[in-house]
Amino acid sequence: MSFKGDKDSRALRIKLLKSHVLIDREIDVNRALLVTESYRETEGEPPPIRRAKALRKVLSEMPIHILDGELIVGNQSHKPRAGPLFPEWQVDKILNEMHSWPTRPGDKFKITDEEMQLLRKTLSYWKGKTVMDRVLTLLPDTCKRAMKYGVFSVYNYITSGHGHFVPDFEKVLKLGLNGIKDEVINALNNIDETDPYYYDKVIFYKSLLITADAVIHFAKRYASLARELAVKEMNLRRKMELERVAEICDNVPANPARNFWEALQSVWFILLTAQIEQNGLAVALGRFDQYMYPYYINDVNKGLLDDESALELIEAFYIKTNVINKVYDNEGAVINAGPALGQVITLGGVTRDGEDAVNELTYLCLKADAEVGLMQPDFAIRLHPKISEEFLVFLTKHIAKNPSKVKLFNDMAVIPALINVGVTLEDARDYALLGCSEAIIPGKTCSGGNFGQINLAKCLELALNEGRVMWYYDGKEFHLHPNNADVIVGLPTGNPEEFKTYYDLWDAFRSQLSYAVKLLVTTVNIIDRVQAELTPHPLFSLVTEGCIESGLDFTNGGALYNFTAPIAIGPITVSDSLAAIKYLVFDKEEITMKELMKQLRNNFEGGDGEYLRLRLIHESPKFGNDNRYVDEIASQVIRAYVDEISRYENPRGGRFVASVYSLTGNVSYGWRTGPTPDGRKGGEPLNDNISPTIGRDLKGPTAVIKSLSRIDSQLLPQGYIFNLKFSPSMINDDTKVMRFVSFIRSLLDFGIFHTQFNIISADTLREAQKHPERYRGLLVRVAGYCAYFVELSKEVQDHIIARTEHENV
Amino acid sequence: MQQIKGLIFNVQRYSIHDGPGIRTLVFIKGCPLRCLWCCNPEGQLARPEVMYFRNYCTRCRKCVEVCPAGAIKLRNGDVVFDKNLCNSCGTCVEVCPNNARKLVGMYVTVDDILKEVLKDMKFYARSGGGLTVGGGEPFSQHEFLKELLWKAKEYSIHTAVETSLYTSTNLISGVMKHVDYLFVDIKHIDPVKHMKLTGVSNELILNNIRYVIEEGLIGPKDFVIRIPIIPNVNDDHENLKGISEFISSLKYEVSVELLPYHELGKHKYEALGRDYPLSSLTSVFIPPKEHMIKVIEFLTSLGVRIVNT
Ligand code: SF4
Ligand code: SF4
Repeated sequence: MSFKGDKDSRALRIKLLKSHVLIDREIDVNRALLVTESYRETEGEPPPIRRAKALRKVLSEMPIHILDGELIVGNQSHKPRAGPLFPEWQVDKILNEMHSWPTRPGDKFKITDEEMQLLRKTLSYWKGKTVMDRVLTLLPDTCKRAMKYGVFSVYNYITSGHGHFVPDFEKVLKLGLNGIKDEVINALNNIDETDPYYYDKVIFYKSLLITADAVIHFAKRYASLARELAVKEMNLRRKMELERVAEICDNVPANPARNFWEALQSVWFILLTAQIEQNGLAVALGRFDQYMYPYYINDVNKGLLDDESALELIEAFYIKTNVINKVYDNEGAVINAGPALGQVITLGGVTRDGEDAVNELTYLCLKADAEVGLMQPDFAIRLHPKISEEFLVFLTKHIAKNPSKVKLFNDMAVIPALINVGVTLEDARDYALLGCSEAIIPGKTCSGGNFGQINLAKCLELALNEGRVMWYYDGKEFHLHPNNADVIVGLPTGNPEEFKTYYDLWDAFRSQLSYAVKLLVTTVNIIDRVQAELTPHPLFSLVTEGCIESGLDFTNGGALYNFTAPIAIGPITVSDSLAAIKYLVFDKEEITMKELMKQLRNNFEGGDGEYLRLRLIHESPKFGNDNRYVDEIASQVIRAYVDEISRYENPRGGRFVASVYSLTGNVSYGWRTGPTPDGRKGGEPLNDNISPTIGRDLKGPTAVIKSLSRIDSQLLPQGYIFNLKFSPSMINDDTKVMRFVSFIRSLLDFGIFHTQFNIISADTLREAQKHPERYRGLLVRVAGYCAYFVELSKEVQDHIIARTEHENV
Repeated sequence: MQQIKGLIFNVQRYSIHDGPGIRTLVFIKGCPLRCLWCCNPEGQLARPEVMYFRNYCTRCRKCVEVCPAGAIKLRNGDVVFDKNLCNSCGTCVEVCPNNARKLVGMYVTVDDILKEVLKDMKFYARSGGGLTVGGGEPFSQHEFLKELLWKAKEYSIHTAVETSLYTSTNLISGVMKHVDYLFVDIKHIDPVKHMKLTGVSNELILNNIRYVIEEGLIGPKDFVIRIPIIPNVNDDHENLKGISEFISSLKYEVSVELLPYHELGKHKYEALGRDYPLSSLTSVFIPPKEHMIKVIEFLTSLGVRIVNT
């Protein structure tokens, strides 16, 4: 049966569907209660089975709904925009903080007193049993101390499952879950009984079978519901749609998709249930325009689909991605400002054979986003030298209208970076993005993306203070020279006043960094093992190449590629600081280490402090001005981090790799970091991602790009985030489009890994701050993702305003 | 070999309003005109000057202490700068921690400039951009200008010049040999009014425009005449008509770009210790979009081809 839409009916439907999701968010308690009940029932069974059964219980008993106008169905929570809870990972913060969620500064969720009461009663079951509890009992004190003072943190993977994943959608669409089940059964029947891991493998395969059935059954629930609704439906057109939905949900994801609509629905069920399984963010959509293309073109050739109707389906699908919500605790709400989920759609790029992969669907996917304009999904556009001028012109016009929704990736940087860490050439060409800038091989990778965050600027603080923290943020107030007993979190690298050369300082920094990385790796690997033990991911494993073949869960090294990629925060603050000391203290000898240290210790307050601070700002070179002196230091800082992190292996048989971005962590880590020699006062934000420090790049975008090009992006398989200052006048008329196209080509020439834009005016943002109700849909790019501006905390809003202000001068 | 030195006051990368593509704009210091609305007053005098930006100054007094000429004084806690005493030695600029004092005007060789210009070669290549020389008045240092353009052409850099063409006619062809793209201003068609508004008559300018075209020194695609639109000063129909008549009398059709009056340079007068010349003319205003549309419609009705406005 064909589905025919047109522009007007599409607009109406999109408006209706958007109104479902543009509402305040609230907490959904159902999942937490069901999971707890299931865990009580499965006490004593092996963890993989308990996980699978818990998911089965949730999927078969959670309330489901089909909203008016929906073409793609499947909900995460009882309401279109609610967040479920995942007590398996942490429970204390849920219980201690939930009362503050409706009113906290950012990322608000409504919750009623009755719900809180219910949760308090039920969730006490989890005390001492969560991933968080287990990790904390094992973690060495050195690691805990370093985290307390903001040297590093491990937020994501201790509070939820892995996430950071692209399922093998292509396989699901081709074989259906039944086809994959056959593979599992086959593997189960063929295990060698003498295999020393026979027991583990049997349990693992069983967990997969339970899970596959649970997902299939979940879809059937929607088929029945659609049928019920169709019977009651008076509107003939809608009645037919519902009947069609029922037919589709009967078929997928159990069986191969037969057409474009089914393919979309099947993808949605997998994405949705993967989220319900484990709550980790950045479960992404992979190379959507590639794996969906056969279904699109087949329908078009058969006359079942035209571009108008394809757009309507794609748009309905996009809106669906906005029903997924993640409830952060208060700390997480600060780090990951805005309800970002990193559900990236990757478009364009090269094929596995190295040819241009752009097709008709690539264009349609962008066009659909321009029509929908919601926060999710996010778009990663892969570019390469063979990309057509036609596509770049289209893309440029799209960026002019939707600047904050698109991020550009450079195949010429990403592919070698992946090959460099052991990915085959063809797989590397097939990469997709997830989360912020993490490039991974879809359906084959346990990425460990954003697994821990290290504060490079704190390492510098330690280098300048013999391994003791100079600054402490207790969550409410700043303390200069805290006199707690545990302030030694680094190594005794010597009195900075006695440093004779720049290299003494550099060595001290390197030592602190090396030590901090070691503590981070220790912590991260413990978490990795605890996840493998307590919270295996059978659904992830079903749709990841390598797991069925090896008999190992996704969390236990089953995937073909395994990485752990902690992110480095504040690299440019550090580079500017090192450059200031190198230049003014050691090269020019205009300032002594003694004077500098005196003022740093006083946070530049009193005496000549302010004078010195201004000199540090204005008289030494800053990253972002095409100045080799400091750019090379930046390159060395990144290289140092890469060298340190690459020494370690993770327990999944893979390696640690580097990435450099900060989400909005540059604000929260800034609170935790004392004054720095680049003239930044304690508590102020660190530099944003890998972008120059705000207000310090004075020579325009070409200079920024050249500075950035000196950082070896091929060392960073999971990328960096570069926010390009972008004035709307760059492409506000057609004559400027070609200039921008050429500019994009230049980004490729210079090997820039990632570029994104943010151009809303500061005045608009200030208005939005004052009248959030009027700016509900206002999107800004925060880091590697977009957020609704009005939902961000005041600090982050202020930071974005400051950034914008500077952009538009 | 000793290279000749030129006096410039800025090199601006990523310039996208001064010729095709992405360009680097070099500002020559020194200009024989004194347009009342000039937004780069620091480009007028052919010698280095110190600018003092009060709003950045924290009254830290460092400059007062070091000035060998006694040009900076403290008066009631405020910093007072006497430009007449200043010899532009730059000492105060070095000590000011706030960048509140800026030395405008540096003597540089062509190679110094080229080094900066070459930094964005890749961007020129992709975008069809290059080097633009503006100012000030580039022809005020025509030897230097010629050498700069010539060397740029050796690197195949696309070159543009923004000039008033208020210069001796016999200097033009030597420079134009190395110029790919030319911008010339017509500020007023009436010689007397032109004199009042800019300090010089326009006869030489108009003759030179005609000369450049007649001699084929630049092609029609690479020549833009710019008209600054200063409301109540030069946007009356009589003047616009006069300009359009002049333009249509030229040998080929030239494109015209309108530059709406703005006051982004106002604070620089203060920084130079000068009065803003247009502040006496209270009837001047920043033309809103509708105003510009009217001007464009009028000129178009006279057969003028307007671009990029
Ligand atoms: S440039 Fe020299 S003379 Fe002029 S004010 Fe500064 S220090 Fe004094
Ligand atoms: S040195 Fe700079 S900031 Fe200090 S008084 Fe002079 S101009 Fe002002």
